[in-house]
Amino acid sequence: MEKNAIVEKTLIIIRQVLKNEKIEWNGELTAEEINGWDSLSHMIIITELENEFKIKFKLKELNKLDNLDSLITLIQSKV
Amino acid sequence: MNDEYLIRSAVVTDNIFIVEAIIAAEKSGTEKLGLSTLFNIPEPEIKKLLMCCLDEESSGCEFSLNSFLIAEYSGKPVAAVAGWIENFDSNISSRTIKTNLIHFVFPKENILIAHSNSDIAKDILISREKNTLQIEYVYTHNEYRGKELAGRLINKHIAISRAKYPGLAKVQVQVFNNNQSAKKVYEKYGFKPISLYTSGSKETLKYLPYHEKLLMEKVLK
Repeated sequence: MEKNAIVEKTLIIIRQVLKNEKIEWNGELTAEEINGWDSLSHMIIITELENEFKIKFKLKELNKLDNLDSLITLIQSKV
Repeated sequence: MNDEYLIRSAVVTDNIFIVEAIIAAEKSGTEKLGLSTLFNIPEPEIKKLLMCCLDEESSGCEFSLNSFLIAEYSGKPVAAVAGWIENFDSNISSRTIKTNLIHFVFPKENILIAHSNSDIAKDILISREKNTLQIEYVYTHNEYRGKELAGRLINKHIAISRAKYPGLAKVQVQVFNNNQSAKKVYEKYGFKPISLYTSGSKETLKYLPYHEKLLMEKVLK
């Protein structure tokens, strides 16, 4: 799957979970920098991404994600 | 006289005791266990899930086995304290590491329940400051209280963290504001109140031990 398609689907999920349609894509953003992205929404976003892309993240992989770009790269490596 | 207690890093065989420590600290002198009420999971099941969290290889948060120091007496653990330098080993916050662990270990349906309860605790979730030593889950078994084991464990965490990071300037601890005995212990060891966080949700006291959390801090010289 192309990176742009992954970004688009990921952004839709983030907007849905955080209930904020105004969030714009910036690959350098960390979870902490996105308004509303707290512990619980983090878990829902990760679960929704696993469902959407039919993938399973490993704990070690999740603990290396430091921004949205690294999340996209990880998804890309799995789909 | 202190020599009869061995201060050491936690090992896998301490996990049952560490779970006891986490549960007692989370309850903060009440019968309310936030992990149980927010996720709608009975306490015995929470204990099993916490054991699974501790079994995972994960560093840098309060559910990481290698965050814990243990005081041992006659071969058994009698006190425990977690501590880690926030964001020291990576860009990932301890909150995210803990959240990833929960995502990995807790049932998905219960995570959805907790998400629907997220307003209950959001005002008293205190961000942890980068490059500070974070202390959590300070616990001494009833029979061994009054022996300054908590202080010895906290001081050992400080010594280990300073050896790892000589620029360490602050130690922080978060405590439910109802827990007078814990606050007294922290004050005794040089912590001062910094900020009080109050929940705006009327539901908080149904789920958590108290609706206020206090951030305390010790400045190192």
